[in-house]
Amino acid sequence: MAVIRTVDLHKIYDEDTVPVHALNGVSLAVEEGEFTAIVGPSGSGKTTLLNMIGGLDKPSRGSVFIDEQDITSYSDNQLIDFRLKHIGFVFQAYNLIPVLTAYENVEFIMLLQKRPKEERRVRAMELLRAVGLEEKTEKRPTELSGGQQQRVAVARALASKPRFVLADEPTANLDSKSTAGLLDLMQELNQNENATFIFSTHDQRVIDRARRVLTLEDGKIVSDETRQG
Amino acid sequence: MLLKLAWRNLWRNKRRTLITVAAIFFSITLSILMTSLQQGTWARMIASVVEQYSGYAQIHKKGYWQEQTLENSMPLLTPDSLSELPENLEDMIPRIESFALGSDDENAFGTQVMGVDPVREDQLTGLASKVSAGRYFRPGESAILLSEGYADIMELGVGDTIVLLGQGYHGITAVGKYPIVGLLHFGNPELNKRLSYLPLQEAQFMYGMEGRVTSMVLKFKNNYRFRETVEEIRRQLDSNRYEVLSWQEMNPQLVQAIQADTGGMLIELFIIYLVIAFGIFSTVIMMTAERKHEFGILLAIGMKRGRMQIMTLLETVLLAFLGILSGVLFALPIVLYFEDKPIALGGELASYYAEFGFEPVIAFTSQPYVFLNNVLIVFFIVLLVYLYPFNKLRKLNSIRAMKG
Repeated sequence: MAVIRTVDLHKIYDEDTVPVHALNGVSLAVEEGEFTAIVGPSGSGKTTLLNMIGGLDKPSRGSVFIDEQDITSYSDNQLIDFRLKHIGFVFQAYNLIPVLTAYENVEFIMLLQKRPKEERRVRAMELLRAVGLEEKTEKRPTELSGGQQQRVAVARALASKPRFVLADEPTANLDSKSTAGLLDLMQELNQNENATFIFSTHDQRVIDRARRVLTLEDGKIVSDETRQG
Repeated sequence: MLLKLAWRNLWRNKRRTLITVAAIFFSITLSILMTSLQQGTWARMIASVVEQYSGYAQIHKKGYWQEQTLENSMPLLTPDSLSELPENLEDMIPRIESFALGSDDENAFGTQVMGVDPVREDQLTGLASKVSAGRYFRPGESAILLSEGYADIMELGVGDTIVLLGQGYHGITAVGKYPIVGLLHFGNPELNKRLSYLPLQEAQFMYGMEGRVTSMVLKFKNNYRFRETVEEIRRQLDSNRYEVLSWQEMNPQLVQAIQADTGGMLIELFIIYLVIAFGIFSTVIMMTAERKHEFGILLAIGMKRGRMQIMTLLETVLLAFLGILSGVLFALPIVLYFEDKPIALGGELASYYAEFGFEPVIAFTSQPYVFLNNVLIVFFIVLLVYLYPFNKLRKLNSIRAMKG
């Protein structure tokens, strides 16, 4: 059964002046544990679609169902709770909290979830070890390279044991070596943690690793390709 | 966690934080010193008039304060004269106040004669402690104490004799001859050059008014609560026969001067507070604007607006706290030092003070309200300034913030 389902999603920006149709009737279903890439040219609606699924933005029309719950009807506070409990975000620009160390950045989400201290410590160290940064736990973001920061961001995204990880162009600022390492990591975590990964990307190296590739153009899904293995 | 975040956020831009803390530090120091100096100086003036002379309140025959003659004297009152003794009233101390011409072989000069109960007057005003030469009254003796200034004018000293001549009750001639047993020093220069003290019974005898007094000075257990006690006594006494006046009613010019001076200082303080407000406000605006993107991220990953609002409140409060704490710690020893050692004025300024009958000193006070009022006002300003990030976070849109 689909854990994520969108029905006839429309998003129109600047409706009152010059309307821009960012999404134009997107309907899709995502199964648990998928490793899906959303691809398409700039302005095709990839980020907007991720924002809708992540409860960051509301559609002009249509619905987003998570476990058959329509999250478009949620209040602002319910959406914040929903994101905290179910979604892990990885952003293009890493977006770590600059005043916190790598360890504290990973721990932060669990603090918001009010998890016990020992559980936070064990989980944060486990994830930092998984992303190969157990030696850098006390470093602040400015003391880490771009690749290392993105690894911390992935660890942070997974810290709350989310059901879904939404990654917006996660490799856009990384070199080839860091990209390969990050993709290995995300695939491994996808298998070990059984988290559903959806990422928007232009990067062919990412697309090659995806098991499902959705192509968007002008706010519509123009192809949906599922690969074996 | 929020406190840790707030503290670290504060030091993201050390220079800006230090400049803001310094602005608060200077403003709070200045406002505390100004308030302490003004209130301390006024308190000293009030004390010199009220605690050393008039007392916090007096009972007179109705009309006495308007026309201060012995004809407006009254029979001696005691606390028993009241139907119900107010809990805060400790004593009612009798006085006769009148004038006489003091003379010796060579000089003659007017003096304000105070007929007092030596023991109880000392308890009220600490009269015995003002003896600068000679000694205080002994029980039952017929003697006089002169203020230093008056003794200088008369060229008299301890051991000399002075003759007083004046008009007594019902127009009789009041005459007395008294040995000078001591000289008194008053901080208030006006009092220091005009007062003479006689034991009450001597004054009553000289003025021909046995059993009568011009005023009953009220002594309170707690001076801060004197107003309510005055009201209570007013209710109990026949208002057609007696007037009960507070020191403010007896010294309206002093009250007006205090009000005018306080008003002037409030304007100065308002300008200082305005500087603090804009200093903190500009910092908070910058802190909010440069972290808009970060707030968007925090909202996206699941941090509630309320928590972000608490975090920014903590940042603002910590900023203010650092400035206030350093300002208070800096101002406190200065205030304590000058409270203990008031600055004596000289030259024209001293004459100006003397003209109004005040002790020519600049004094400070370390009363808690001096610090508390300024601290509370700055905290109020901080809370007011905080409305800006509070409102920004209330309306924050995570997507727009992350794009911006």
